[in-house]
Amino acid sequence: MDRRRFCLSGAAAAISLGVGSSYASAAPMPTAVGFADGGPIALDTILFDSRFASSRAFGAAAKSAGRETAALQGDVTAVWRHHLRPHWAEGGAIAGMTTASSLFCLEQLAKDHWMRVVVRVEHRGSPPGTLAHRVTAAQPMLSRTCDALMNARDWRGHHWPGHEWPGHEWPHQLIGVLTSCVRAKDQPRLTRLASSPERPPREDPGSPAAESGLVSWIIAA
Amino acid sequence: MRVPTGVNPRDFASALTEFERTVGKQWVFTSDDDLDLYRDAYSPFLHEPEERVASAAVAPSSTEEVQQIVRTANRYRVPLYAISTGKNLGYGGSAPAYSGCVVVDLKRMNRIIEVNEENAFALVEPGVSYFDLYHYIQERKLKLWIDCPDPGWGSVVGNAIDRGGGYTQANYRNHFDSHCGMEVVLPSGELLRTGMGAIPNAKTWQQYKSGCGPWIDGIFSQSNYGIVTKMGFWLMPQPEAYLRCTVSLPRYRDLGPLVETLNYLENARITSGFPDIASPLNGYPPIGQVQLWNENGPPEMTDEHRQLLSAVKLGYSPELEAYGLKSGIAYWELWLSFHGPAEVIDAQWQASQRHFSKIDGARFRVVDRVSLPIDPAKAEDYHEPEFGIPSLRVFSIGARTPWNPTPSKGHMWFSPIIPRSGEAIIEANRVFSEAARDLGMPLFRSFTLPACFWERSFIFILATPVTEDPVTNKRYREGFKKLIEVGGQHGWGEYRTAPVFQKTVMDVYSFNNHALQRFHETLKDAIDPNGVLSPGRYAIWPKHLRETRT
Repeated sequence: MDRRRFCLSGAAAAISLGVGSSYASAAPMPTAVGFADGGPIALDTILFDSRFASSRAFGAAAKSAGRETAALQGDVTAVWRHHLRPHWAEGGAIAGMTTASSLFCLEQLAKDHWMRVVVRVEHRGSPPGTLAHRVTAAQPMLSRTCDALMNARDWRGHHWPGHEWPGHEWPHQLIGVLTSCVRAKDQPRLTRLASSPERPPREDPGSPAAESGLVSWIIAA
Repeated sequence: MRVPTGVNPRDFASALTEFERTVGKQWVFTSDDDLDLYRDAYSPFLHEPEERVASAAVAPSSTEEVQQIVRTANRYRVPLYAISTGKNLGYGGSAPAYSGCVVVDLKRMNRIIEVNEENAFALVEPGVSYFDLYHYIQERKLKLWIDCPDPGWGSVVGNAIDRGGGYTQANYRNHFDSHCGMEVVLPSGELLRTGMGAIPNAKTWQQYKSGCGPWIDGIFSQSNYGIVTKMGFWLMPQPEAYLRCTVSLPRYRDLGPLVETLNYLENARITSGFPDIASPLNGYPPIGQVQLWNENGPPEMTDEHRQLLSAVKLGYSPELEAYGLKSGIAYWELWLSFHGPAEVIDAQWQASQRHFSKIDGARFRVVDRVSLPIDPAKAEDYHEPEFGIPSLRVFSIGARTPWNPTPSKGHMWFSPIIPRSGEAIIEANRVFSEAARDLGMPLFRSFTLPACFWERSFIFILATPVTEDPVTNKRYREGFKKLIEVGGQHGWGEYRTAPVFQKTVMDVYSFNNHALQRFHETLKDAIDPNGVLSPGRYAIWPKHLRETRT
């Protein structure tokens, strides 16, 4: 197909997320600890795509954690030009929750500075009430990220409007673990599935709802 | 440690040590993690053993370091593969044509050596991207435009060396044609300057292209005869104004006269902006509107229109034409653009209308009148490369959207050149659609219009997707090769292609028992006897690898 028809066609395979077994662990929410094989990755900026509720929640959680954030709406040109280009010239890791195509652009641009995606979490809608996440990272980030997602606020079985649920929504959990990422440059990156509960839309129509195709990530050297 | 085939591991280790001595240990890359950065992001061999990969990478920061690297490669017979910024996606990316090469990554050579506003030229190193050059010009408020491809993240030198193109005026759109002067590290490590640069202390290196004697610049494009370390480019003076207009024609048969008239106007320099042919009745947008369609959704189409479209042959049916006449939807729509002083471009548009009025039913519309420089806040309303502004918005094409729910993993560009005529457009559609259908290829499934990047010819630039499935990818690769051969049988050749297809493409250029290929090989044997530079690029193999590759 030609580039003009590209946007109008549904040809070619989608990225398929094998719906295998969920990661089963009752581990508590991880906190930043020192690891023998690497120090912490200092994140310069957290990007989010303001078109998507989950990503907005991710950005809001980052901001409330005192992090610098930048919004985009699919196209990375402005963020790249005004923000990342000068920062990356001096080296600086970033994190974000964006679409796969935005991440693709950032990933290619990061190569100019010998940086790469060190943590990748692909989010997919799953059976109603849950979200599936495909996490690719080296240890210990792999386990920590899966744990954080599995320990997100659990709405299942609770139908009391106005009740204060324990724990945090999954985008908030993700910020907590991504902003305490540690280096593991020479460790192999592995993939694992995790799932987290999703707030039922009828409980709060304005609440974050997962949009399939979003990816959370860290780009670092 | 990965070792190139045929290279003694001890020699390779010695070569790496010398590379480290030349550029510094931190700029020699051998770990799997680092070499992953040099994989082709759109590799058609995704998840397959035949994917082309590097054995190492080295990133020099100067011409002198490049020379030393090449000398080392010769000493140890280590194959090299030079890349500028490695963004040649769809045409091979940052991966070598021959697996096991050491990638010479020129990204660190990112100096903008000179931008001369008075004479409108620039001299740059290969690591300078279109974004870099654009920002340099904007920061200094120089009244110059660049011409950039879409996306604009690639190397100015790299894109020109692979003969890419852009979107502004004709003489700047052809990036190789708009270059003036090169500096090249030859396969021996010796340094050469072309054109007037061959004169020490040359005063016109970026002003007069050919120097004296044989004009050799072309041999360093789409080849492996040298590593370009500097390149000059003519830049467009910032125009005073921009005018964009459309010419709409109601009937299928108007395509021929449309192209003939456009050809005259372009060749006579009455219009020189990027012309863009669309077919509203076939639902075929102009290139400049594609990303806007993808961001906002395509225009709505009635069910009746959609149904009529499903029954057309080569983009035509009398019922579809009648529907267009009834509804006022044009069969063809030509987008013309003009750059210059307002009084000049208005006169050029007047003359264009006079010529097109000879086609019965032609209608005209002024789409935009823009005083330049454009207000940066308004640039996003347009296709920015047509204003010399690099952008990445093109990646919205192929992104997941409600109207494109299953995006691909990348693509390979099928890019044949066809003659500049309406008849050729229809014939190419007939030939390629039949072949693509027989091969199960996702190209030419409906009437396809070419692009007008180049003067005097048309080009199709069509994406064949790279998928997650190796079986499908293999089928698409084989189908792609067959389409190249079908094109060749009709006298149409590719203008550029990814390494996996370079032999098939060059085999089409077979006049007089492949005289061109034999000439390429004669040259290669003479100037690169050890075969160290980019073996296999555009099917030019060094002697010691040639027999196993043919």
